Amino acid sequence: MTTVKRAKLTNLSDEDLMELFQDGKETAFNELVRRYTDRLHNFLFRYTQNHNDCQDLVQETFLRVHKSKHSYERIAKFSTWMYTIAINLAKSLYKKKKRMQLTSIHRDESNPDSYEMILPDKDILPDQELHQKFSMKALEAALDSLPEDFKSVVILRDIEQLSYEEISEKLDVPMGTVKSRINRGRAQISHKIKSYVDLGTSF
Amino acid sequence: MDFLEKELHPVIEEFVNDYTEDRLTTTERDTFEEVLVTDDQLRELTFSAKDGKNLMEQLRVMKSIQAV
Repeated sequence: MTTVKRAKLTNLSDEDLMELFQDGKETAFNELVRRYTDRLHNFLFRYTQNHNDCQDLVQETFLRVHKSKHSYERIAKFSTWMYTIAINLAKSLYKKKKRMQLTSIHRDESNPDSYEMILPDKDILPDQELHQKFSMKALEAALDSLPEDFKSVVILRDIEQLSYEEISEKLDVPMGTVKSRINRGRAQISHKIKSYVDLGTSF
Repeated sequence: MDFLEKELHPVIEEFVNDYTEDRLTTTERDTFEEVLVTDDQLRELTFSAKDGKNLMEQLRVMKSIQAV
C-alpha cells in the first residue's frame, strides 16, 4: 500500500472504513485492526484481567468482524458493534472456564491411597460476579471523579434517596441549585461511563 | 462538554429534573420533547442526565445486594 493510500484511509471514519471493507477493500479492514487492537485489548483486560485471554479474544473479535462484515449496518457506531462482539466472546470464554473449574480428578476407588483432586483456577470469577464487580468499580470511579458540589447531591439523591427538600436543608443550598447540580452531576457520570466503554480508558 | 456550562432558566432545570425522574404528565412530556428536538445542548443534558440517573440506580442496587 502506498503512503498516500494509507494516509487517505487514516483520515476516514470507522464507519467509512467498514463500508469500504464491505465493498471488498481488505486494506480498510487492516486499518480498523491497526486502530483498535490496543483499545480492544485494554477494554477486554478490564473484563478478563488476563493478558493471554485478551490476546486470544482480540484475534477472535477481529475474525468475527471479518466474517460478519455484512451484518454490520451503518446506523450503529462501528466501535459499539465491535465491543459488543468482544464482550459476548469474553462472556462465552468465562462460561467455558467456569465449567472447566468444576472438573475434578476423581478418587480411584480401587486405590486406598488415592484422593480426589480439585484443580480450581483462582483467576476465574463467575461471569455475573465479574461483570458486576467491574460495573460497580467503573460507576464508583465515575461518581468519585465528580466535583464535590455535584457528587454530594447525586449521592444524597440517587444512592441515599433523600427528597429534594431534605437535600436542600441538609446542604443549606436553594432547591433550584440542588436540581441543577443533580442534572449536571448525572450527565457527567453518563459521559464518563461512555468514554470508559468506548475507549477503554480510565478517568 | 459545552452543555454543562449553559445556564438554564430554573423552570427548564425543573423540567430536565422531572423528565429524568419520569414525573411529567404525558402532555408535559410531549411538550418538553418538542423543545428537546430543537435544542441540541438541552437535549444532550437531558438525555445524559437520564442515562446517569439510571446508572446510579444500578449502582444503588448493586451496593444493596453487596450489603446483604
